[in-house]
Amino acid sequence: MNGKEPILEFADVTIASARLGHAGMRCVNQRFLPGTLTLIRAEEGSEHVPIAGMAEGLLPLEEGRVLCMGEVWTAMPPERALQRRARIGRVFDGCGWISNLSVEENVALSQRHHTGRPAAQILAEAESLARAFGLSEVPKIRPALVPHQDLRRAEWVRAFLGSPLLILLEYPMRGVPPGHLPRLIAAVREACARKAAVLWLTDSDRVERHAELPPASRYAMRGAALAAVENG
Amino acid sequence: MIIGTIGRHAIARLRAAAHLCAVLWSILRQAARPRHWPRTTRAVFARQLLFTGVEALPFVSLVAFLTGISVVVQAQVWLSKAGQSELLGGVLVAVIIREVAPLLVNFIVIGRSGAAMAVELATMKVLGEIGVMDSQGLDPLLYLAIPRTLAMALSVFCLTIWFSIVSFASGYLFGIISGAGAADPVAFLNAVLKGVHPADVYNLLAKTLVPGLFTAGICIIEGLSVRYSITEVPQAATRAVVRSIAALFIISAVVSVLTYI
Repeated sequence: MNGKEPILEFADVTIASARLGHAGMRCVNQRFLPGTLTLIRAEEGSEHVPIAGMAEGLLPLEEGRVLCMGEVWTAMPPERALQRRARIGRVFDGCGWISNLSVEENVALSQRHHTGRPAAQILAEAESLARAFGLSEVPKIRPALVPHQDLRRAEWVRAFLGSPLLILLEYPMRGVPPGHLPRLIAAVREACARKAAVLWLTDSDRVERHAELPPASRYAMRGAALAAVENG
Repeated sequence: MIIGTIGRHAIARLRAAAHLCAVLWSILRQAARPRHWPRTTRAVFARQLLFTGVEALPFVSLVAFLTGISVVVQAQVWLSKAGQSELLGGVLVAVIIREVAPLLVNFIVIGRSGAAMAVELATMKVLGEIGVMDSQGLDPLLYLAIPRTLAMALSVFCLTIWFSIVSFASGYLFGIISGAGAADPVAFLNAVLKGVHPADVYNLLAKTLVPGLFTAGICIIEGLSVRYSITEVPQAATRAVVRSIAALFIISAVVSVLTYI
């Protein structure tokens, strides 16, 4: 894929608010180009913004279409859709773990499932990312037994593992001491440098105003609409 | 009105059965493709075999031991009294291999693993873990359903063979201790082996693999049928167990009838 084709594109996307699930979004038009960071500001305490689920083609749309690497999710053969999702890294807003696997197994799951990389190589990359994020190692125990801030940073490890093309960060700093923010920003910079697109959903001024944050397209949720915000 | 209610109920049951058969067909068809067995799926298969098959061995052995004492000794005693000891092999095969072993092993697997599988999948669904898999490109049918279903069917088959061996051995030993049976183990073994016909092998395969597949299919469908609340989990587990037992009896009855036709 060349540098001008968007990795992800929302074309007139409208999604209804789900009673128990998420907020609605209306007429979203957005392109996520390789090597770019998009920052979306949601108000603290607002309903779950379903943009990551939309980006992965997991939510039924009321109108419009979502294209991933040039193809509409709903028109893709199921196996290709699975392969595309394997190239997406995500930090979840809410549950992000399979509880009967260890954190290490969770982190390596997608790579072990979709690629033929040796397990040792996957784990070595995961350990290296873990150290970059300030963890001594990827926890070998079940997610329920790991402190929240370590678990959140282990989610960062999973999101960046295997050099994904698209990285979806849903409030990645929730529950994590602000001192770790520069580590995450460094990983985002690296991902952008290798032409990944990063979508960062945040409710924190600290993230938006951080001096080391790479140039970003900035948006804010205004009701059900996504509005552009001036840089600065 | 009553007929209408019965009709609606019957149609709903038939639809559920058709859905179950469609799910199982899909699982078996997808499982036949080697590319649907990446290392993660193989790991789930191995884990399920360990839980359903290997870890059930002590309890299955205990039940088989006690069953052997009651059934084999009774057969030895009564056939000997009737002067029909030469029928021992045929009677034991008909009772243990054709009926008791598959039925009891299926019961144990439903109670031990089927219920656990339904609870596990229902909990995963309620907690959003299925969505986590989806978002990583893991198809729940390939990752969750295929390995669990095949491992359960294979476990039931292997456990049934083990059950039969243990119950024959315990029956033989207890027969000697109680003075009810002949002391020659070779003669006992020959009597049993002579009683085994090709139809018994087909019967054993049908009464273990098919209910094993159906139990897994039912537990997966019921487990994944929950939607929002954790209170739905025990209800799903109860439905899974009840429907698995009903399917087991229907399959056993049909196979028995077909075996004797």
